[in-house]
Amino acid sequence: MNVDMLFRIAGIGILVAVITQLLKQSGRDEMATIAAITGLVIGLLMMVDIIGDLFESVRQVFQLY
Amino acid sequence: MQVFQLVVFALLAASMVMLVRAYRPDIALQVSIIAGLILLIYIVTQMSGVLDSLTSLAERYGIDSAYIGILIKIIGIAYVVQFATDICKDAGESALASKVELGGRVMILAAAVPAAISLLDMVASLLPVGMP
Repeated sequence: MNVDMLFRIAGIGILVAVITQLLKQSGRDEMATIAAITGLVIGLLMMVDIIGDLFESVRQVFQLY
Repeated sequence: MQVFQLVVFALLAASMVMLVRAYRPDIALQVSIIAGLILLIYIVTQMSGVLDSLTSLAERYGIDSAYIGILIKIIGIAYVVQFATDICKDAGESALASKVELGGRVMILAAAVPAAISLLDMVASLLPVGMP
């Protein structure tokens, strides 16, 4: 059970929130959107990694095909 | 104790999700999915010992290990499907959640059909031959 993965994704969320706020304040709305999408994609990549881990261990433990 | 580890992790994850949700609800969903995945991986690895002892118990009492295999497979399907259903419900997509649940039921039925067929075969072999 690794807590650092959780902290990492939560940190990404807070960082993306700060960056989008800053970019919106300085009038670059399209850059803010791009930053939000980038944060989302990074989170998705981490998620896919962990989902692969879960499926592997479920397949081993429950002998699913 | 490992229970306290589990509980503390869940509370920490809940507070993280609440913290992030105030600023970015889309990333908060990802945080909650990742926390659920980490918890589920931990629980599944803990469960392998229980399943091993269950299998050895079944072997000791002469139960066919194929049936225990089917049972274990069904438990695995149920856990994975429950996880996906809960995530979909959290994201507000209860229609998707019920579809995933339906798919899980179909998979469980497909896994259980061989056992049901062998039960029917056994009942048919117990009946006297030549029944109409």
